[in-house]
Amino acid sequence: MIIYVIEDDNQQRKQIIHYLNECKTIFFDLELSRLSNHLTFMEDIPKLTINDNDVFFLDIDLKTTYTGIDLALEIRKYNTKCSIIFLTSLEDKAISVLNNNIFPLGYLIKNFKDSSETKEIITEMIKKSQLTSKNFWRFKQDKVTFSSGSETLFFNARDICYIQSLKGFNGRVLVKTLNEETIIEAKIGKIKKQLQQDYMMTSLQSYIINLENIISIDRKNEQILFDGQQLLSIGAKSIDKVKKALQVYSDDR
Amino acid sequence: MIDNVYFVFLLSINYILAIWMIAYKQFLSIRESLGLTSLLVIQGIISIWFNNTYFTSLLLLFFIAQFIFVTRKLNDWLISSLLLVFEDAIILISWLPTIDLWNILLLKRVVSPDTYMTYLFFLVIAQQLLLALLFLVTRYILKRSAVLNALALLPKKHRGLSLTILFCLFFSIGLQQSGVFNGYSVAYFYSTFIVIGFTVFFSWNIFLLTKYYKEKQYSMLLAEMYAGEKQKIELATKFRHTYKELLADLTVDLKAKNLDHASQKLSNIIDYSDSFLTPNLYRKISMVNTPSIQGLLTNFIRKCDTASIDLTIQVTQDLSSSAMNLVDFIRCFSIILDNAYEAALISPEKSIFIEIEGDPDYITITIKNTYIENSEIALQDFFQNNFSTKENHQGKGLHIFSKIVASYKKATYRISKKDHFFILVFSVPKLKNPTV
Repeated sequence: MIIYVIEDDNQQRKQIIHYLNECKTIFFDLELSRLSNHLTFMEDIPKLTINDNDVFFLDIDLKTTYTGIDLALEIRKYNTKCSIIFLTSLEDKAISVLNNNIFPLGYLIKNFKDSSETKEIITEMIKKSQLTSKNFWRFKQDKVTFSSGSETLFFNARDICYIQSLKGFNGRVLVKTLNEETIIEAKIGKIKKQLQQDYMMTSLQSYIINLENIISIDRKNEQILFDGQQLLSIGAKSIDKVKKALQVYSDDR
Repeated sequence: MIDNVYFVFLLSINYILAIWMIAYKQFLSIRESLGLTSLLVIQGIISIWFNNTYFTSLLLLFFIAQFIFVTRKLNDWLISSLLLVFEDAIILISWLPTIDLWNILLLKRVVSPDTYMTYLFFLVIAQQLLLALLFLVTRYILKRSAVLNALALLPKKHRGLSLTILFCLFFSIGLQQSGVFNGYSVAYFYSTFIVIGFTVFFSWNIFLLTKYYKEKQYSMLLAEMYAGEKQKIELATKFRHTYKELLADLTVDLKAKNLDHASQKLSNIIDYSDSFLTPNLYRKISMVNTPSIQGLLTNFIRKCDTASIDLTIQVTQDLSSSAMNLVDFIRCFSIILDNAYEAALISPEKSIFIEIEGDPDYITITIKNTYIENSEIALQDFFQNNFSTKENHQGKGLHIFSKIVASYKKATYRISKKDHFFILVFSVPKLKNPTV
């Protein structure tokens, strides 16, 4: 991931780069581009190799013959998916970004008073831009992708506790992970085909269970306790099947 | 002249065209459209079978049924009655240069009865084609001008106006029918002229009414924004008075190398000017570019401000290109805003984050709010009918929201609980050719 910061105010540019350097602990492949001259950047764009996971921080008001919006339009000619974040001192400037089909990831109102807030916003924005990137998931090999309507959602299969098909909600499933629960538009049968991991138990009709994340099974109360204190209430018959699957999985290992 | 029996049959076909080319989807569901079509088919067949033109009065049944269906769906009398008037006017217009003209030529003996009969079939086909073309144009205009949205957003129900329109329609149709039954061609042409005339008259007046309301709404928004800006300017004027003083103090401290004191002064300046520099939410929502939604968000900002809820809004996409009916969109948006407000209001850390973003095909709205976690409530319970965590609450909001979203093919939503936040992501497809 290459990050470009195009900002005419050197002090503010340094500040953003300082925040980005701090983000390197989270985004190990973050690389800051040396191209920073806002006066020549327009001519530099055609020479760049822009990847989908590259991020551009563009100041809207560059005080030159072109604006950050012009730069963004030029960048979009070469890559429609890379992330563009506009920098602006006042939010009214951001109005002109709309209706240009630039589809920016967001805009950052320069507020260097509260550094922790600005850093948090920058981190969140980069995180959002990197979800599709392979490198982002390098240490978590079990990335799974679910399509829910217009959205593509990414989960780490190892973090999933269970997936449950919801009765009364046509074509919706509940995905419970260690720290999140989400209801998405998807069919459980389709998800079962996607999840080929050996620790995923897909033989139950309405559930997919991550055997790795089970902490305890309470047959009497018909409950399964997962990591992250996630509790699943399911019938005794299903409990027996899970127990059996857990036994087979443990034996295989 | 064309046999009166076939006249009824042709009218039935005309209205079937109207159902499928104009009313279906926008005003009627598939079931209602099929029901009305069946009614018209039965009416057409019966009139030929019994060879009786009085079966035309069965059209009244069709009008009533369509009026009820459309009113039920849109909860708007005015749109229902206008739809009937427009359908009728367009059908009449399509008859004028085709079959009616042919009839006049026969009556005036310009064409012989033999020639009349030979070419009548082609004239009937021409009338159907012209009608289809007129319906296509009407559908395009309705889509482009977003008239329906403007009508649906009128603050009053306008039931009186709606009834007047219906009375005029039925009266002129009555006149027209008596002209047909009694062979009074002059009465027929006069009544046709009356129907088209009063359709134009009502349309023009309603156009002026919607325009007036739109402008009123816009001026209200501007007044609110003006009040906000005025407040900022007053603050800036105050700030200017003390700014020089603060700078002078700071310079003295720096010269004396009294850094701690200088740093404290700087913090004071920042705190003092904080509200002047923090993002102006009213300006942000002006990017939404749809006055009615701006109004909704303006009220929401004010509500959050009064309740001391920390509100963040990020807009990178305007909403004018949404393919969802504006009234439905506003209903959905207000439900999820209310839901976020009520949850955040009782939570210890009151915070709401709204993001409106887009890509070439979709508009996505994300609402993230704090809430009181209760492990006994499952996430799916929020969408059950009559479910509410609060007393004296009907608990219908999110259930209605899910139903509205489900009625749009490509619209979707997702809900999550993550890091002590309740998150609702709502996506609607974009219009291929947005009007604005």
